Amino acid sequence: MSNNKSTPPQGGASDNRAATPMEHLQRLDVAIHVEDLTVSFDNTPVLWDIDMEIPKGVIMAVIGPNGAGKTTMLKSILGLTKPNAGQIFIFGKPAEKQRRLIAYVPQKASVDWDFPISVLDMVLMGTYSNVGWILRPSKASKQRAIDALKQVGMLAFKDKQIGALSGGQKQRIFIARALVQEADIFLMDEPFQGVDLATERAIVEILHDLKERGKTVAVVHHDLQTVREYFNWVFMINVRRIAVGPVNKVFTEENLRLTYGGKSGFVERS
Amino acid sequence: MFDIDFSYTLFIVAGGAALLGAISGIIGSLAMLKKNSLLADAVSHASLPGIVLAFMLTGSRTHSVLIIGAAIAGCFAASNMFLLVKKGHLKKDSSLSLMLSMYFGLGMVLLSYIQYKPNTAPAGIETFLFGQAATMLVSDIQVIAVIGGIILFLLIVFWKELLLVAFDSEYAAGTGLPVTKLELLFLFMLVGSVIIGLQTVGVVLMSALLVTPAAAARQWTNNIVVMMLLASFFGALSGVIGSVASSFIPNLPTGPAIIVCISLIALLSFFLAPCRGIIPNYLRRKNKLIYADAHAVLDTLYILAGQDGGEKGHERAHIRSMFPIKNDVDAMLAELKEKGLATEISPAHWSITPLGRSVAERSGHIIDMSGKALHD
Repeated sequence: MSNNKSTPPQGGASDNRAATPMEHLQRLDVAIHVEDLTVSFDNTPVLWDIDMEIPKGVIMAVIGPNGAGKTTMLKSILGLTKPNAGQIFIFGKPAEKQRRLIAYVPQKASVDWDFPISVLDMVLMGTYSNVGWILRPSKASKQRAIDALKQVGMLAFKDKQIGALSGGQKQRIFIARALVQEADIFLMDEPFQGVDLATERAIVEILHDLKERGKTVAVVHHDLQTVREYFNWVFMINVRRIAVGPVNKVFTEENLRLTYGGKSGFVERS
Repeated sequence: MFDIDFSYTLFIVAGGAALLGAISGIIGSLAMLKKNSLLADAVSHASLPGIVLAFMLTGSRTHSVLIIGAAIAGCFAASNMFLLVKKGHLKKDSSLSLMLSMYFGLGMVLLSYIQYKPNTAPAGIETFLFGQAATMLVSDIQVIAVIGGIILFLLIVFWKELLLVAFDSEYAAGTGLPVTKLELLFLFMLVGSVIIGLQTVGVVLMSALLVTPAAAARQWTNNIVVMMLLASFFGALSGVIGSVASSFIPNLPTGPAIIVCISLIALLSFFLAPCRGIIPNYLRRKNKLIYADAHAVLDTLYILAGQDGGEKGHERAHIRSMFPIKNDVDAMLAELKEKGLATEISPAHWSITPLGRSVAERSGHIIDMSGKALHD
């Protein structure tokens, strides 16, 4: 992958020794800054003391075994789970003030697909956060929704009820809903899970497009074989942070063993 | 004289019941889609102790006083329930049935207490169990109209947000919407629509008037707005039919008559509604000549054609790659060809025909390819 031209500035405190912590936080090239994040459910830690940073403009895979806290990590950034400790900053400001900048693509199973709305109506929901209270989506919003459907190759289905779609198609309209939100950061929870080849290709194309537009994307991902191909940044997690950084530096046999406890069964390609 | 009086009463009762049914249908639709049907049931049962306590404290039997008591008890029960789920780590359905039986039991105890207490004349309070529409006054209709109007106003103002929270509350929270406050708002709306029905339908059956019109309407449409309007119509219709029936048949109570009527509408809907009904579905399955998956192949051809025009057709291998190996894509392509929906332009290159295009565009989830689509 030739992503050298758009490789983002290397995040990390060592790059600007002179900066105070606060100045560092406010650097605009850091999309997400997580500090000491600890989350537990019923006294079992799911995330333990996570420190990490996602530079602006990277396409990042979040990888780790089941129960490693990948989804919890995304939900913490979104403010959907309450952390026991820790802070999260989005573009230098506390996350709770920046929610509108984040678009979320949840797992397919998270909604009731029998809900009586059309594909277009559902995608239009992505514009709600920018429309404001009381008002209804404008013509321009509707056009954005149609454009997004076109982008994910689902325009022909716009009037169908959402339950009539296949798994891959459901994933595509989830992504379309996130696209119309005009967010700067995209958090996707296993978008490649159980989708057909055409959908996987379509999603990868969208990831490329988002990268070219300078958006930041974090994707919970399971297929280690495609990490190098699809992503330029990787966050390896197993309750604790194992490693985070550029794929070509961090995505090593050693780190994989640490993440998966030596049972990954993944033989790194040359 | 009797005749005029009688029809005037009937007019009031039918009007009130229709208004009530209309409002219930709308709010009930959202409650059902939010999977809050049981909450409506719990809230209406829980309002009984509120009614009795309001009577005991004020000695008044005025409708508006009693339903304020009902509203307070309903809100109380609902908030207790949320607390139980949140802090008590109890599952939602368990905490709902716990609250329902606890409050209803308390209400029954209080009710029998005042019935045997000297110097009180509780006559009328027990009619809140199953409702007594015949006592409805114009002022009662005004109460229904005002509370119903407020509920509908809130629904229109916060429609976008309530819809998003109902469909995908996590996503809504992720975009920064105050989901808890919106849930609370909806709870108030639900409590409001329960209490306006207590006089007519009663605490035991009120939740049926909320949920049943919605369940019936859902069968007929996949559009939420149409569904709400239809539920509203079904609710109003059974309100009118129920009141008229109970005025002509001696000893037939209005509330239960309304509920029987809406239940019949629901039953008919479950069997007959064209897109989801049991009978149309059965007939569709019987007539269908090819697998449902062939439809997916047709859709795929349609999408591929949309991407590049499809003049040269699409490689069979490419189409195959989009489906699991176990699916016999070749057989489905052959089926589509036989039906005139797809054509093999050159060896191993397939394209959708104009007919196939129109079928794909018009089709819903399940397609009846043997049917009319081929002939018109």
